[in-house]
Amino acid sequence: MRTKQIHGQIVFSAQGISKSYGPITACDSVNLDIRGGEILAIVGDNGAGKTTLVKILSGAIVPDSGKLIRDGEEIKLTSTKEAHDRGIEVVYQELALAPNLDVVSNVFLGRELFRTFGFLPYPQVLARKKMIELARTELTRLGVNIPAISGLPVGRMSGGQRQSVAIARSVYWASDILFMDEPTAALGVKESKAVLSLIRKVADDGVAIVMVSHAMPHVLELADRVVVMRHGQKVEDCPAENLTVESLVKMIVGI
Amino acid sequence: MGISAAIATVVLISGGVDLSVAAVMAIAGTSAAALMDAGYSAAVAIVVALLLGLFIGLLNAVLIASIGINPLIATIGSGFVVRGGAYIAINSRELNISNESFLFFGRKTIMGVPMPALIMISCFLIVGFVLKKTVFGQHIYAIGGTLNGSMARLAGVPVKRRMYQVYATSGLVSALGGLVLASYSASATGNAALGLELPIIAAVILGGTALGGGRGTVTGTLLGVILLGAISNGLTLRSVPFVWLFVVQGCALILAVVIDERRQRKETK
Repeated sequence: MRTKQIHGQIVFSAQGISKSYGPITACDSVNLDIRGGEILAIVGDNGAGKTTLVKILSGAIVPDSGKLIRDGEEIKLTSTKEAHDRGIEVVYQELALAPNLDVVSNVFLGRELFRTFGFLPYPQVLARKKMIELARTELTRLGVNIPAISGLPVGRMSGGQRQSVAIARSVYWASDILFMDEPTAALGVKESKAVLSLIRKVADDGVAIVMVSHAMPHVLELADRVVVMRHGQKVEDCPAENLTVESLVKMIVGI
Repeated sequence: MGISAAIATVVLISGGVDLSVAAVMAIAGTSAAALMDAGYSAAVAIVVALLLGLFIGLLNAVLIASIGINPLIATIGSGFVVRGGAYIAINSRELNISNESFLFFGRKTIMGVPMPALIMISCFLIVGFVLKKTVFGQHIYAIGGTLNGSMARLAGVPVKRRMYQVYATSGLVSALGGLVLASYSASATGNAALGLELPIIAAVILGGTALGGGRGTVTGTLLGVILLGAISNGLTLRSVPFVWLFVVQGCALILAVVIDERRQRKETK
């Protein structure tokens, strides 16, 4: 389970991260600190290098140069699996939910609880009751409001409910650092609110959140700190409270 | 047919399809017959035929999961190869099988229940249990839920390994079906179970399994098999010429797909 993190402590940092694709520099010696319990928003125009940076930090891409430091120790991430093992999870929005399965099956997908008979390794019988119980406890703790956790395929639920399930799953799997790509994209006003308050709740638990978003009002409402990327460089890194939508947009386009 | 339909349900739920099942049934029968003809015991013949089915299933898995060929095309191709092999195994003759212990499978009854029915029911029970109650079954539904199992992969399901298991089992179980068929008819020919893959899929789809994967139950398939069986029995009893069976089965397949299509449209609404 999650090791208790102290709020504000640096849990993961990137030093001088660079990545080029041929002549294009997607990331140009970026330094970044990620702190427990803090919501960090990365903003920037399309092609500014946000996605590349997040992919490097979550193990999907290996950088050309630079160091990654997790809890004071230098690490190398060559796959998302290694990142998982170090408590780093990415919420792939609804992409990573099976629309034909119910909430419980989705929360435990790929890591199902099962029991076996005696010393026989197979069959691996699903411990369905246990999973329902655990999923219900976690969803209640996070205050996620969904119609049913068992029996109803998530494909029948609303976008916000699905997003909440995706987030709850990542949180359940004991991650210390959660990356989210456009967590409120394609959501209605009310649903966005629910998802935003869920993210806040997760951060209050000590989880470090890094979100990439184009929705400036959401960024300002939720983030503690904002990093602005432009042409692969980090051009701004400041507390969110000093910013307005206007000043943020100016930084993004560079005027 | 019922035995193959049980495993075809699993393949279809995973979002794939295996059209080589009928050819695998044929080659299992002819290779076993050829071995017994050459003086080997029934046990050896059965084991070799089952391993052959498993091997063909693994080859299908290589084509589909490792090389990435569309399962429809891959298994049509391998089906042709295997069908050819089925004729070659017995030099295109028809072999009569007289080995008593081999005939046990298809012709004996236990407490009044014929062996083929017993084997089929066991297959359905096992497949039903695996699909509904095990980690493997859960993964099969998840893989079938999105195109190429892309979502399941992100969630950490070992998609490739599961596909190998699915197609290998499909080959193995189809071989078992072929052995039962050969035993029941006490003969083996290269054209055994010819064209049977389509009624099998028709039965599965009629039973409520989605053609695109992700949904279905083995109970539904059992009902589909019984329905198709009842239709063909009814035709025989009313002395309708055998050839009409193809027409009826073809119509049943089309009807099944139409029903599936309507159901999907209703769900996405």
